[in-house]
Amino acid sequence: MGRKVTIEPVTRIEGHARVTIYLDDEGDVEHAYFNVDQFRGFERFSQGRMFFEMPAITPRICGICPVSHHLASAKACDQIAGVEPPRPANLLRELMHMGQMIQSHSMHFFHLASPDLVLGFDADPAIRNVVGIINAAPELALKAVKLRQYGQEIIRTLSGRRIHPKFAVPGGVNKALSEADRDTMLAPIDDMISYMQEGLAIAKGWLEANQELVLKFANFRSGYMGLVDPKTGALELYDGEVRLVDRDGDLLEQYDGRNYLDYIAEHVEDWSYLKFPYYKKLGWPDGVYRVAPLGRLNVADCISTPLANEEFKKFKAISDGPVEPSLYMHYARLIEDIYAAEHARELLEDPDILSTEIVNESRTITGEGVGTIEAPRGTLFHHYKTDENGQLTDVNLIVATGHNNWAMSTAVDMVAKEFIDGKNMTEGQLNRVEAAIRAYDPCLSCSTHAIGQMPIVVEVRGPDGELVKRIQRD
Amino acid sequence: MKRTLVLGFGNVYRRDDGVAYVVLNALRERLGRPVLEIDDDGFDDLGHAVDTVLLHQLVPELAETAVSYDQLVFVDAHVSEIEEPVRQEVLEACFRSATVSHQLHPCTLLALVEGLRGKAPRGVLISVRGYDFDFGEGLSKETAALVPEAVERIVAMIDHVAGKSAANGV
Repeated sequence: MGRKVTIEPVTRIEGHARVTIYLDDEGDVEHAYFNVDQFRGFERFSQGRMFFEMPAITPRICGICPVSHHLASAKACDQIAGVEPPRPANLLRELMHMGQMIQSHSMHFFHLASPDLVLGFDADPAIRNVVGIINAAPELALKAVKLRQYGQEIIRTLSGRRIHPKFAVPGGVNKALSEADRDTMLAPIDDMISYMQEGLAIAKGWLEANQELVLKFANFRSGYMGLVDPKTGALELYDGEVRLVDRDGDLLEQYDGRNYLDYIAEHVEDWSYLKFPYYKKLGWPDGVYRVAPLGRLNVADCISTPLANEEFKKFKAISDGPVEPSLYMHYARLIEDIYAAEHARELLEDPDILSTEIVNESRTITGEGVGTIEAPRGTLFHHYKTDENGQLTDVNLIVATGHNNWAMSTAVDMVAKEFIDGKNMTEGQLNRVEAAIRAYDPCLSCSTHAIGQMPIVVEVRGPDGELVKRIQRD
Repeated sequence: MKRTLVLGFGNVYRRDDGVAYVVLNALRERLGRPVLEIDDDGFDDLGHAVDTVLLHQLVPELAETAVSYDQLVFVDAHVSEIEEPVRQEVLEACFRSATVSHQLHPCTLLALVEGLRGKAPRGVLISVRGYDFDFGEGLSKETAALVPEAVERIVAMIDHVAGKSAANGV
């Protein structure tokens, strides 16, 4: 009988996610699983509510990307209300989305990813964290805080709230932008971009210096999916069409997000509550794909802003086909960060953004709507159906992390097999497995978070199931 | 004057996980302040000797707000592994790993503040036993009954730092 190792980052009441590593009799990794234990019950909770409540309710799904849920929900509600927002409203919504991207991408890189890169996978876990970054590189840490704060400030300025926005409504938004607020948001953009470029230089330098590791660290083939501008093929985060490419980067589909059910199906495994979406026509598992920054840059033909596009060209030059190693997700994320800042400036400099024509009235209920958006972690679908009064009868959410479920499971399995030595297991080896998940920046546990749960526990069990070793990290 | 920031966090749509919202509003009434709406984070009403903010979860940039306070009182729900119905715990500034999640532990926030200004504020966690974490609004009867004690504990913390007049209408 083999042994079992469990990594449990359980910080919420249902357990949410853990990594289970099975060792064979020789101490080698037989298989590793990325398990998600939580059933997401938000869809059922929402049924029976009025559709127009959803943009205010759904941000409670997530404390980190509430804007993505807010805007995807508003887009679905536009369709239910049978109304198209006026251009200024779309500019303002997109600006808020750029704020979300900036705060989320910046937080991920500097808070979760950079400790591994700056301090090393094998650094003492007591210092391999954001506080370690503050001590090792205080100026970098301060810039990271400013970046996230800038993104949050965009959200707060537009919605009046830092965390849970109440801004987008069916048919538009509920608050126009003042000239003074526009100027306040414009002023720091150059500094923000320079901070992002510093982060990008760190990521690129690390990737170049660690090519051998990068190429054997969760480097695998898959399809890719993300929104693109239907005319230019450029990276899109707020609107556009969904593009799916195969493992060679060749186009499979480009479709309106409203038709997602024609293209996407979900596979179920009995060891995870999180479903595994895949491309219907190729079936499971041939139709698996990746989303998020790596997915988006692998499907895009270009980026519409100059600085990000220059970096995009360098990124594309890494490979003739899709860029596959999971650690390149960090590189792609920071390119998107720069795009988000550059695009925020474009939006702020658009004269229409100060218009007070920010909402179109609706006098109908169509009964159905699908909102599609690129959340920081990937493509997000909100699909609602209502009765004739607008009361919700069916809600389906495919969240970004779900699309990457297969990829994270594959990454965990590959990294565990490559780096874990069951006979001489170190914290650094296990950290590499966690880093494989971190690369995808999953959001698994945002529904609740009561204090008092298990810390991270690693258990090694012997051939008879007895506990051989237990590692606990608070 | 020494200042206290009371940070409530939790999901008001997961029943007792939202206990901080009820506790903070009870405290605000005690302080003579208007209550927060369910979707109001309280950041527009800062600048008092005792301030309150309500969040879904803690985030790093709170460090910049927290840096100007002498004491941070965190309010959250806890689960049955903790015996006391209302637990009071003095916190140290230290990093608690989130591994892959985006959750920030109160100790980590204290450590971030320490990193920014060289000294951590006093940190206290008041956590209230939750019994029902299902999707839904409103507290269970059992958790609701614990709210007054939680408020008394917070008031005592405020008095501890600022003197007895602070919690009686600042």
